[in-house]
Amino acid sequence: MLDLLRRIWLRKSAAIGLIVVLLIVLVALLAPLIAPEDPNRQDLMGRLQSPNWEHWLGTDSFGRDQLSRLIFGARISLMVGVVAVALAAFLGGAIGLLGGYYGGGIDNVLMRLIDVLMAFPTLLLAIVFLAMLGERLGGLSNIMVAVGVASTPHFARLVRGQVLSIKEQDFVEAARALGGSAGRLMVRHILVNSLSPVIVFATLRVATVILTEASLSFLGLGVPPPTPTWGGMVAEGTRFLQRAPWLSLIPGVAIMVTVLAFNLFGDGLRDALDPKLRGVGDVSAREY
Amino acid sequence: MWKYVLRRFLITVPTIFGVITLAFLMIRLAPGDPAELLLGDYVGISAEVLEDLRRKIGVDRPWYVQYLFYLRDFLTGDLGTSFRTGRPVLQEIVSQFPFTLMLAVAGVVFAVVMGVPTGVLAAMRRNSWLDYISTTLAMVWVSSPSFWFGILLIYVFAFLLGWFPVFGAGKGGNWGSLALHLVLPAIAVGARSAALITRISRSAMLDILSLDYIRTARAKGVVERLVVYKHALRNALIPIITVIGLDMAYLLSGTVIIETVFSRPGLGKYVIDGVYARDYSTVQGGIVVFAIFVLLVNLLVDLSYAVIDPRIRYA
Repeated sequence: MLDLLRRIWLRKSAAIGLIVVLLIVLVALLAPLIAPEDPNRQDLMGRLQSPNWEHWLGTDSFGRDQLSRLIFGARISLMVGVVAVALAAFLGGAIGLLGGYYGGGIDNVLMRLIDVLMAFPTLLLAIVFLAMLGERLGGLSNIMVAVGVASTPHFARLVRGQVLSIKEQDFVEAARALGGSAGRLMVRHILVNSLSPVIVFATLRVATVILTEASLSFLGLGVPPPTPTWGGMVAEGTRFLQRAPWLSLIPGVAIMVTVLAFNLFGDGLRDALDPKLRGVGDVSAREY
Repeated sequence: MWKYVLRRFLITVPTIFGVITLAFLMIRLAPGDPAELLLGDYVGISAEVLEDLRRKIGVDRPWYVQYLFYLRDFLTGDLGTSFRTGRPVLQEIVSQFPFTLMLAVAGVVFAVVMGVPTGVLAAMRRNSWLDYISTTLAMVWVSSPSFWFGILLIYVFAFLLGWFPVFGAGKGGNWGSLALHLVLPAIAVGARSAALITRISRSAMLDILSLDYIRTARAKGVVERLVVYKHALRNALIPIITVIGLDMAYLLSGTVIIETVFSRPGLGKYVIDGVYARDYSTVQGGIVVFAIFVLLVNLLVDLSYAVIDPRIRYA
């Protein structure tokens, strides 16, 4: 672990990525302590203020402090990013593991299903899942499930590919000869050995999922107001783009910096874990 | 070659069938009674009227019967009727689709025109300031949300400089107006792809420029320009086209949101408006056409490999 951290540290861009990610996590965790105001406190007399000493990033159309909303918005982005990716890794991992290990009919059926899901752009798929869920889980959970399920096919493909190459190796054969059950072989031997690319892909995927969540919030399909979300803040700001451009532009910068940090950290992690994994990231970067 | 084309096409057919089925299931599993949704905000509707309406739109039958009717309608080009407008969904999609196609093609053109030369130049001048600036900008661009970038473009080029119109797609039939309305959305849609293509072009060119046959070409005195464009770039094109192809699905996904940012008509905006209004037949028809479009683009990309790299045809 220490060796891994040292190798990440040696790459300047990866180290910067890691530091920024940790900072954003810290900001999200400490939001109630460091935010100057309650993010939902309205002050209609002081609406649309430009950045000043009292409100460093100005106020929105309800007079709410933009900096406080930005700080609290980090919570939604990170939470959706991490939980949705964990869900996608779990579901996709299970599908990839079963398909890759058993092969034949099971694999065929699962992979055709994955093909079908991959025909839909991820954002569109997430929107349709959101429509399907309706009011069932409620706000934040809906988004996490919809984005998570929409990201599942990518993990399934990745894990299946890993399983196909690892299951042919001698140590798996040896474990089977010693009488290991299918479940034990899959989890203890194959899955554990295919984790590196999955971890790298998951890190990079957090970046993609944060963009998807921001897009959904921008479209008004994300966590409902008044909860502050970065995508929602960009959308609200567009109505005052000429008068108060910072309302839209600053939350966008926050999204960009967070996504960039995860991308840099993911790239560095990939190189540090195994230089042979080059290319894993390029897959993740291609859509959201 | 034709055998390859046919085989590749036949693989796509079951996936299209799967897409149509999945769209049916997704919409049927959505909450709410379609008949009640159709009536919208009318209150105090009697049970008989609701029952009658359910029979009329066919949702009173078991799901598998509904599915068979849905398949039959789909194959005959009937995608249902929009609850909102009362017009056939297919007719509406046909009128919206050209706008999305135009935006996607313009986005790809922008991405390729920006990405390939920048990547090639960065590779040829490795570790120069041009290389550093282009790779850094590409990383930043890959990480920025397209809707935000679209808003930034609107603010700078429409509000501050007044060079381009802000909203809509321009007047039909007036090519100048259509083109002028297309510039900013196309840049917003294509920016991320341009960044990706820059990165891939750079690394593909670097890989190839270090190969022996390039050294041979240089050693026998071939002009550098020819080495780069004829020997290297041509072979670097395969990974570049792969990325462009894979990226098309993302780019189409981008049109969904950019159409909303610029209030442009198009398939993406049509589906989003359908979601807002809970007009499920619109959403169903829209996503199926979207997915089929993505599958056809993937098919075209695969076929283009076969043209560029003859080894694939015989594999």
